[in-house]
Amino acid sequence: MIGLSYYIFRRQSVTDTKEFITAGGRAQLGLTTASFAVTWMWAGDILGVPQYVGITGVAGIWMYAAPAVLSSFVVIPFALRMRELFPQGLTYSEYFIERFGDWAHLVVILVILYTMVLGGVIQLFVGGAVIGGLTGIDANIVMAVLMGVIGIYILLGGLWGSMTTDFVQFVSALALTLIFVPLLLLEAGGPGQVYSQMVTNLGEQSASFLSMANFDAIEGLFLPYALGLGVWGVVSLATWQRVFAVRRDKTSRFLTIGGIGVFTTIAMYSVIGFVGLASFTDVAPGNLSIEALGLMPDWAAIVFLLVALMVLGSSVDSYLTAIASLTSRDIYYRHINEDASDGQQLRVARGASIGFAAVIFAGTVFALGSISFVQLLLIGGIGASALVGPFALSLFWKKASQTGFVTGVVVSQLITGYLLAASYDVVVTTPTLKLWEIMAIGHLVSTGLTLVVSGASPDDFRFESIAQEAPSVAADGGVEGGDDE
Amino acid sequence: MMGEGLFTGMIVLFWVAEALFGALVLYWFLTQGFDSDKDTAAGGPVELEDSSATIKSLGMWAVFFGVLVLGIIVGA
Repeated sequence: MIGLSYYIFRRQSVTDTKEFITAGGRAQLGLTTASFAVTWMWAGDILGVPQYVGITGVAGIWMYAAPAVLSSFVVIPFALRMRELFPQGLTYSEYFIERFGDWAHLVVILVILYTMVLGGVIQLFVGGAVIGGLTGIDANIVMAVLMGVIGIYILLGGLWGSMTTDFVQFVSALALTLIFVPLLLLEAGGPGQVYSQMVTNLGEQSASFLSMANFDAIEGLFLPYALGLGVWGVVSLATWQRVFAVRRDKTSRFLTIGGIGVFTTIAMYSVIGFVGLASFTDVAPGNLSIEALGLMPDWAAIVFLLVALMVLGSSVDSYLTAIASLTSRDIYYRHINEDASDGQQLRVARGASIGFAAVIFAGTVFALGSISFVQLLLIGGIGASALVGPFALSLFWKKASQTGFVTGVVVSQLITGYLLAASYDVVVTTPTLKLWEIMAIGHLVSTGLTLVVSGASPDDFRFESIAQEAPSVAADGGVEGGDDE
Repeated sequence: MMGEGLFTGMIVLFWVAEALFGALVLYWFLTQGFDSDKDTAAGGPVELEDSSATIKSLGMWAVFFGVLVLGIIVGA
């Protein structure tokens, strides 16, 4: 990965901030789709999907996968609007400066920053749990080595490096789902044997566990995922980097193919859960994945681990490049040193990659000993509930004002933070709400307050005032001429 | 409750869909490479997609969600 990233560093001339952060805005469909897909088909799926299957059976497939791909669908109108306004934009958070001002920008980058750090923690959690669990190596050592390697290749290539290594990792993910998962299935006796063994082990529960229409866990598993991570794509800097990296005429195509493709990958990971249910009768859903993977022959388990490492790296490096972009452009350049040279910004971006790698590592060490994976996964989407509604209003409603936007986001985060703390008995104990209810309240408060406060103190924003100069290259790549949109 | 045949068919369907997805992305990468041609790189980003491309993408999503709902009904 480091060698490949160095090759990209030389080939794509990653010597200025625009190349480092947006890959020049000209990346092709295959590379970007692979990069987008592998960023979303994260290593967390190896733990998360079997755990969902262990809790609710075959319905766990769509309860996990449908919200996960929903992001790709929901983000399409946002992406088209943003690329219309900012054909050559660097980071989407800069939009908030142009649209509202410094306060809205500051609020957005703080929410995004902790959201992206949480995303990195989720990934590294999987590395520690799966690789440490299967090999017996201390989880902290596994995580430290992972962060070291990923940090080095991000230092070299930026987004070009991340996207190219993503492509290798995409092929690796295919190997996991197309070769190793079927191999595991065959080791367990094939689909027929797994089915009959599941029916035997599950007993009376088999009717509900083998029904796609088993809605028992919809409140605990589907709704919080749909209301949080299901719209996280709109908030995720990793998504926006890829939206701005791909050719503009391929924007909805790469989101569509990448999103739908992620569903099939997640669905294949469910087989690990089926094998676990067929092979064990007394294993907790959270341990189903590691126990089932332990059924593979030793050589296959080792290769599986190596490939899983690459898949895991793809997501963590995406978060690190996104955080580097945020720190360099949105915090350092916008709020600290507006005269910063390109070289200075690039140094800050690289420094941030390393600094936040350490923060993510420390956060994961803490999380590994204090919270379950699915809890961490679902809580990770909480930031989205504050941003999605106000962001949509700001893009399509000229009366949305900075006061309304900031009020909506800040109050929503304070309320959801309080409700979350109360639900987990941290400092406060009441009221106790379900996670999906907390997220729904977050969406309602953020969107409602932005509407009400903006209605009381409206802006009269002219979107054409922030639209960048029209591009000069037509979709066929060679014809000079403007874009009249 | 789905039967053994449906269960096996579901896994085969997932595998075939995953293989097709991987093949398509690999084909795109092998035929298109890393970035747009030199003119595009020098002149700036290309035009935004037209509405027919967006409608085509939304159509793919409609088919996807339709198949998903159908799968839940058939596999109930």
